[in-house]
Amino acid sequence: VTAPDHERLREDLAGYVLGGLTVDEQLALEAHLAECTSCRAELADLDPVPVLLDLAAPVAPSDDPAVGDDADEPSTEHDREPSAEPVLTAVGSTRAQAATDTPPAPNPTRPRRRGVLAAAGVAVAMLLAFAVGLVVAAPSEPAYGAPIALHAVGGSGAAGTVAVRAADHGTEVRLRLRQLPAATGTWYECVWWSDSGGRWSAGTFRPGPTASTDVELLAAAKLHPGWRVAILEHTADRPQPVTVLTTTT
Amino acid sequence: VGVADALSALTEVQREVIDLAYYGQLSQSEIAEQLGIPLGTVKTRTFAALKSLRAELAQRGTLP
Repeated sequence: VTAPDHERLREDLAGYVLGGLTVDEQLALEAHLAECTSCRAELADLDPVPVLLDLAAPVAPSDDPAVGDDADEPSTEHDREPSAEPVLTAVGSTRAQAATDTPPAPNPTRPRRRGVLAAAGVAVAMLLAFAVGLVVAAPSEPAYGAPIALHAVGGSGAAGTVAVRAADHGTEVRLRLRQLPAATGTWYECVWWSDSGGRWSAGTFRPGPTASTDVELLAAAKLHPGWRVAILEHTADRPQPVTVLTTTT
Repeated sequence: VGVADALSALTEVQREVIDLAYYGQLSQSEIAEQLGIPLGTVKTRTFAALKSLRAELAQRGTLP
């Protein structure tokens, strides 16, 4: 590796730990890391920083007065914990974009880099299996439950459904939203309740350029009977979010 | 743990790329497009920002 190449690859360490390199860039950097002691040391130096960045991300308020229809629900320990970790984090979206002006929910593992690598690994495994005539079945996952209609509460008049399924480490929540307003200056926060765990804050997401958005969230808690989902709309011209959609259970 | 303080010690340009890359989850190419600057500049700037942040965190005892 020439000195300019080394410097270019070294600078990619930032994109590597923060997420945001292309697969080709990641593979090139990882090949370089295998043979470059100084870059490995630099990576070890920088790698803890993103986890600390999560600590600087503000947590969405947990007792938002804008959510008016749960005022009669008893307060819980979680409601009072200012540092309660959001239990829902966005894990995928077809068109939604992460809000750039509001940090998403803490995401200590930065799944994008690992997700890309995992996807690459799966793709290689599938190709190998195909080459030798094997059929590799995808691991079976429980199906999502029937979609439940979200009830419009106010704001933009958006509509949509929510479906949930149990996951190994919690609950996956799939939102299919439509009639969304233009994304400029607007984003949403999804809030998930359980009947026994209080109210939990989810990550934020911004709708894409179309009026429809599919979003999948991962709740780091087991699904409890009586769960509820509400979507709060934040806009630049309002200091407080407004609940726009909620389940009616 | 002083992370917010460390972030505030960065230049505005450095905070901007950290915000876009980490909190905004934009790729390096997307940042270049959004800021209207070359990709190489984004990489140089992001690397410098992360190094500065690392140094600020070390200065505050958050990292060794």
